[in-house]
Amino acid sequence: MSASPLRKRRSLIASVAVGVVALATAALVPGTSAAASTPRHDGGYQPPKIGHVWTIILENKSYESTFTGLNQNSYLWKTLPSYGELLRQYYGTGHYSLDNYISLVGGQAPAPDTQADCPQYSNVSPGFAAPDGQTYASTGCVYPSSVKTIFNQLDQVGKSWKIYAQDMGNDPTREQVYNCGRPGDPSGAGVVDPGGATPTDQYVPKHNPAPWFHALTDNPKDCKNVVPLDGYAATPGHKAIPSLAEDLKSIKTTPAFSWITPNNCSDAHDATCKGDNLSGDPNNNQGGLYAADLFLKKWVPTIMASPAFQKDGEIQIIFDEAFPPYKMYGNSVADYTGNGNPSLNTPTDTSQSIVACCNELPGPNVTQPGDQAFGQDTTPGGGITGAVFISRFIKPGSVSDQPYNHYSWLRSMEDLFGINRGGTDGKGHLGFAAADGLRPFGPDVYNNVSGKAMRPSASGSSVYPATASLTSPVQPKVVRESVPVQGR
Amino acid sequence: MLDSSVITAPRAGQRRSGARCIRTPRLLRSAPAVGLSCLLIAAALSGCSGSGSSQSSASGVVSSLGAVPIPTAPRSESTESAAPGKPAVLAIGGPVAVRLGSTRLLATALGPEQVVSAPPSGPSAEHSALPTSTQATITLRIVPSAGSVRVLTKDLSSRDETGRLITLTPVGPDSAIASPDHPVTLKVMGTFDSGAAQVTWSEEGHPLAIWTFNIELD
Repeated sequence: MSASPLRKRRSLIASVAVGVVALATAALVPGTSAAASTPRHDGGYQPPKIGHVWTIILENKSYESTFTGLNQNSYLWKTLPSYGELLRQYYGTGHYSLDNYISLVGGQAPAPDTQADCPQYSNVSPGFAAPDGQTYASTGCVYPSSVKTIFNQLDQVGKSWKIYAQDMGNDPTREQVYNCGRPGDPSGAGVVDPGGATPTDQYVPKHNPAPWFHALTDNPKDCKNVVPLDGYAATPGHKAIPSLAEDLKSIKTTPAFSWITPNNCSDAHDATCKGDNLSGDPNNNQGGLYAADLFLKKWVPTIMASPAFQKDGEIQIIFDEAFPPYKMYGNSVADYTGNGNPSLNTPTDTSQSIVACCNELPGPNVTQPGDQAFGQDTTPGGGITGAVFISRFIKPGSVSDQPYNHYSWLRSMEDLFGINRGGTDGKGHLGFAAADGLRPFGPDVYNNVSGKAMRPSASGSSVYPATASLTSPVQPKVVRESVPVQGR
Repeated sequence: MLDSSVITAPRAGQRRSGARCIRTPRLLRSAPAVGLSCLLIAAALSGCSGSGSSQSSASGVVSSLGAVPIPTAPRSESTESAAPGKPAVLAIGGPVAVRLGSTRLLATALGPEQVVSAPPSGPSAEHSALPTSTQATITLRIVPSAGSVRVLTKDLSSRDETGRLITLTPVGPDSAIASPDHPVTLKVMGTFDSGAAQVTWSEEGHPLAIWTFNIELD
């Protein structure tokens, strides 16, 4: 049972209201500076002191699908980049969905069953440690407790976190709302993993990063942080779970890190939704990026009105992987003919070519980094998806052409939250996030170090080209200077 | 198009009396919830803010560095228009206002409703290849506001991203006459590979609208 629609609406309005009230009270309180970045002790890049991050993950769209006008998503395509930065070279790490989520939060490379979205929810086998912080996972998808995640790392440094999963718990026969949203017990033969939505429950475990790590599912304290997006009514033995909107009302109740998994409709996965798409029209089941836009129109303003965001927050909108259509990005020299499914070995493959990014390496269980899906040629990986980040530390309308992938994201979050011990490299980076030379988000992303709020500006107002190294001078091409909201 | 800045704190040193939603006209006109918030701002500024210490810190940042503008979505999207010789390219679900002589109508293609929309679950599916194609239904909805038009399923055609022509077959009637009192919905089905595709509606051989869509199978 979940919160009633009326309660949800009330809490949303209340959240926006309280957030905006908090902004208004700014007028009454003497100035406090948002901390600017300072050089790191090891001379590396130190990101600004962002204290709150919301990562919203969407599904299966190439950069071309999302950011060139092919779909009904003008809010994500046009509006949001004018309030933040468009990362034109953000890549997934594999196909299909699940391996990307595991790479993001654990630094683990795609494995045979995670690439196939784990139709049977079962433990990884044999599960021994492999070089580079990887794990031997010839079968199965649920990693042993020795494999840690960013959430375990946040626990270690005392930073709060939550995973908000839309619809999780709507149907308790499909997923366990009090146990990280897992579909059941993965031991032995495991249980069936529901891969698709139903009209009343559009949650799917493969889009929630928590159920795939015993380091989380075996710890009830961690599973308490994996909650339904819209809250959950009290049940015998369990208190009511607050919604994201309720948590946003004050900094005290806002986690430092919030991972947001929309349901299989709102994340753009289903082309036609099985259930509600937030349009308010029960006859409108349009999915894809149209539905994702409806979700973002609801939640991005709500998050941005919160005191935590206005103080030191960052919203990240990312995708797990790219689906066709792809633009051709080099490295395609011939039609690939080695697909396991011969029907994919078609001469038209070159039009779908993509490249893996950021020196992505294959894990110990597969021969290439990411599945060779969609008949793509030559180089696998997760494809270019693009991403949009919004923060007071990011100039509105800026564009970065620096390549990043999900491992870069993990490394960046580890650095941002001060996780600098342990991990695979002893510096706090897990798995392939510890790869030599991997770039975290740098000054091309956090390009407004003062934190001074800027007026929105058309996307492309400043363009940050890729640089050879993180410490190379950043020389953006500035078409239009940023204008502070409080004068110059 | 950019939305205007939404909420900005007063400048440092500015006299702070009363509640103000500075530079917020579009938001306040279009978003009832935030308009309500503005009323609450007035309440807060009249002495009921109740902020804790961390909240004060947030307020201090906003006071000194400004409030980050919040992007509100346009209330409604404009409707594309089309006529013979001037087709519109749209995302599926997008309506288009079509002019056919004296007939005026709104056309919308909806779908795809896929027979397969997710990989099979369960142990038998382990290590098996994900599905690469599915049957899917596309729905064409015609709502005239003036005049009438005969709509035929054979006027719909489809190609995938490789240029392959997709054979479409009617699901239900293959034609109908649409008028202001009688909107028409026709359905066609085809077999599509995973990836991008488009469906075109033509009238007497003249393309009127092309809708793009994706087939999702993972």
